[in-house]
Amino acid sequence: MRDLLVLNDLTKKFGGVTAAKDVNLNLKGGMRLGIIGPNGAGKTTVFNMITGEIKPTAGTIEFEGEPIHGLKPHQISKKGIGRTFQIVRVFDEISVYDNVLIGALARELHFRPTQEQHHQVDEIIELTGLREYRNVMAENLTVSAKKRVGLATALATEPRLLLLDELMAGLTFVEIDEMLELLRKINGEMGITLVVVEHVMKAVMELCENIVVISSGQKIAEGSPEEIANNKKVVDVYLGEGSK
Amino acid sequence: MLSSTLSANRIALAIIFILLLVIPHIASSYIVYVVILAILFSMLTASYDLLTGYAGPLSFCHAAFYGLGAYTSALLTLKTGMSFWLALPISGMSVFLFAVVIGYPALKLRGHYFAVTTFFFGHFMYLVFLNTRELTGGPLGLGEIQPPESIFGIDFSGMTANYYLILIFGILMVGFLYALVNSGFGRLIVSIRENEDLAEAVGVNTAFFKVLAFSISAGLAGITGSLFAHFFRLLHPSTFSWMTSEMIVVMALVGGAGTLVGPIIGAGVVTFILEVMRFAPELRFVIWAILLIAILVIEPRGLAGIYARIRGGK
Repeated sequence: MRDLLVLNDLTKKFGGVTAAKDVNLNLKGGMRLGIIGPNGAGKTTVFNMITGEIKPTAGTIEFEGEPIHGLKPHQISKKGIGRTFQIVRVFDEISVYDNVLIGALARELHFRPTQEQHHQVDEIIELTGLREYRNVMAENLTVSAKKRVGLATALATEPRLLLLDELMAGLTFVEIDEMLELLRKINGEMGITLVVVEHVMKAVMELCENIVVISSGQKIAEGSPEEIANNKKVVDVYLGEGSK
Repeated sequence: MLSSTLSANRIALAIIFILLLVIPHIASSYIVYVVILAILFSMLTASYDLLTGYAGPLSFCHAAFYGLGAYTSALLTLKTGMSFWLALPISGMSVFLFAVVIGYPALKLRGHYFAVTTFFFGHFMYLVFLNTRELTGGPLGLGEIQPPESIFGIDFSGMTANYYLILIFGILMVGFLYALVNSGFGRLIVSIRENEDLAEAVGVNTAFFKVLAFSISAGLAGITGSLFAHFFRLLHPSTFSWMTSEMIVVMALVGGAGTLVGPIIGAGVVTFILEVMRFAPELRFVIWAILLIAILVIEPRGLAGIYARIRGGK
């Protein structure tokens, strides 16, 4: 099977600072991939290059065999890549329902939203557990609910690849478990490939089949959660060299 | 609660509508003249609200598009002998296309940068109206503009026929805008106002939709300008100066931007307050400024927000 997403020597320099250097990645469809690394390692930079928020200094990005580097974020979204943001973003002063509907309309604009679109929004709201907040203005929600709104809006664009940037940050243990269950559903039942950037190790270890570790802009390890947990380089990066 | 609010709204709307229909038959021509001005300003604020209230970018050049439509329509009829009925849609369309051309680069700027750019663009257009004397007559004004040619046997040289003509266009324009802001397009431009980066990330071509909202808004101001030109029959650059643009911004804010009905009410209220205060020409803008600050301090959502609070909303 052809790889869904391929990163080739992806590099980003901000002036003299190299935020990401020669990052390579081959991601198969249907996978759940975790990207971890210390603060400032370049995880979000890699995300932002994939979604078009920032342009790579060098290297290429292919999605479903097509080069997508250099495209604008809205064009990349239309190709089938959805995302959530590290600092939660919603459309504040409109209802949760309209937030999600905007995702559906952005994918396919109708003067009057179609029955299918309303139906799709209802289903997503149900799936993401937002039914009781349906008509609530998004700015009045808790962080946890806002994160689910962001996820729901991304789902309404019908992505085949979903990039989730620190979705678990700020959630309680119970909320993390609920979110993990939801992500397994999104991956298992809807067949959406997931890439998560996460600091909550429990979440990454439980959810992901494969983990990439980035440090100082470079990929230093890749493997199953077990391999990563026992990788000396990774332990050094997180706990400092010579620990144990 | 909701249904009583709805019916109260309907009753209020019905009363206003009936009043608008009978005003030329019960009021003095001065009052009719003021109401015409209020309707024209309502059309300007409603079209302005599409851009600034719904899509978000704060613009200070709406009067420039109003003036561009007025001069285009007047000059087409004066220089080429074109009928008003053809000049009206052509001036609306020309202003729309003009706004596409300047909106595309200007809307790459965000927030204050865009606002400042529109401010200077508005002033630039005023200087163009003022200094292209061969065309616009400059400070002497452009006169001898003819009223709309009669159609269906209706003669438009008098005040009453013009009143109904402008009222009909006002209703059509507000109806069009109402449909637009409640459509899929309306929802997408609101998403830009709420969070441009998020809108872009979920697949909204924000550059395209901002330019489109800007240009539709401008084109409608152009149509309003054409109606004004053939009603007033004399154009002067000062009508389209930054003061008018600022007035439109103020009317929209007082009424409550992003509600469509708010800016329309704001236009009506402000027009009448300024007329009533004519007895104190030096003081009226001072009183007016205090009133404006008071409203915005009490309720930043303007009159629409105050109404929502009284009706028991939040």
